[in-house]
Amino acid sequence: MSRFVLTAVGPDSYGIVARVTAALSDLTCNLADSRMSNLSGHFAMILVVEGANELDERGIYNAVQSRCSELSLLVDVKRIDEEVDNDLDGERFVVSVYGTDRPGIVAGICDVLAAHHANIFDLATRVIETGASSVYTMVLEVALRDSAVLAELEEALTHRAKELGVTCSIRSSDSEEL
Amino acid sequence: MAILKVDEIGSPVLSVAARRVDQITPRHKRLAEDMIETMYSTPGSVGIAAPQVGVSESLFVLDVSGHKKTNICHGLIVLFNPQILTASDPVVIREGCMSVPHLTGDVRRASQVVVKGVNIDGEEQVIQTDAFEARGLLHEIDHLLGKLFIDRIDGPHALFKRKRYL
Repeated sequence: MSRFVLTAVGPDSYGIVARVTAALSDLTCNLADSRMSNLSGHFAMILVVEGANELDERGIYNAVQSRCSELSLLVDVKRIDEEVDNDLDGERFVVSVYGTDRPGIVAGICDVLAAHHANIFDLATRVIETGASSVYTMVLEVALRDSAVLAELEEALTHRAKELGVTCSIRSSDSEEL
Repeated sequence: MAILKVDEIGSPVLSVAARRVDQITPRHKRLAEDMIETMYSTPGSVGIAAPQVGVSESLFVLDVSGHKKTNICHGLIVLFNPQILTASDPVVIREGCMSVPHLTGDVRRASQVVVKGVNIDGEEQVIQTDAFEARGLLHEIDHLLGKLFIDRIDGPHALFKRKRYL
């Protein structure tokens, strides 16, 4: 079996997912993992695709492009040779950040997270236009390698948020077993 | 008494509505005892519905005693043929389930409920409760309807991977 990362981005329209996945289905590929979202009117998809050993990047690229020729999709296919098994998991937390838009909010907060070995599992940002100014919002899910540093991390985040002029909070995303 | 094997997502019994129990037999009593033992012996578990142990009959057991999100608490509940009479004040909580061991998900459910059913002695029981006990009742009743929490998920970004159940 061979594995590939496929990314495709283009102006949103009906049928993008249907056509891209039909092309992959024609090649008898599986979607091992995927994330797709509309980003400011552009539809962006990133997929981990598994298929037969004889598949290659060019073959997948051509199959997708022939199905999607009129969609103006920017498509990229890269082979990934081995399965990644770096254990960056830990106790999960949700971090919320918001404030007046300015450069460096994401970089500033994520620098603090990295320094505390908080690994980002998921991140989404949105800009909200509120008349005169824009408000920037960011929500992340992170895994903390060592939850003993939580208090220290929280303090560092609060400090950095103050420098950036934004509000930042962190809370446990524990699930409840039923 | 015995600890029962818990069916996982993909097993057809989890996706069909459970049969109503018209007569509580000794077999049902043994099943309830085994479900209770299975629940108490599984770390973190607060409830099990019969379809989760491969039996498509309308019965669940639940005990949320001592849980940090519990308010009103009826202790051990064994209920056949439950029906939701009222449900209000929805809240979103991230749930895990023994039958979906690799995922958790943000699920919106009522936090105030009144549920009616039949207890192990065949008597009608009406349970008015809130908070975590309400969530537990609704989660277990969903199993009896052939629904997993994935059927109730708050959106595609509300489903999360985890390594295993606890």
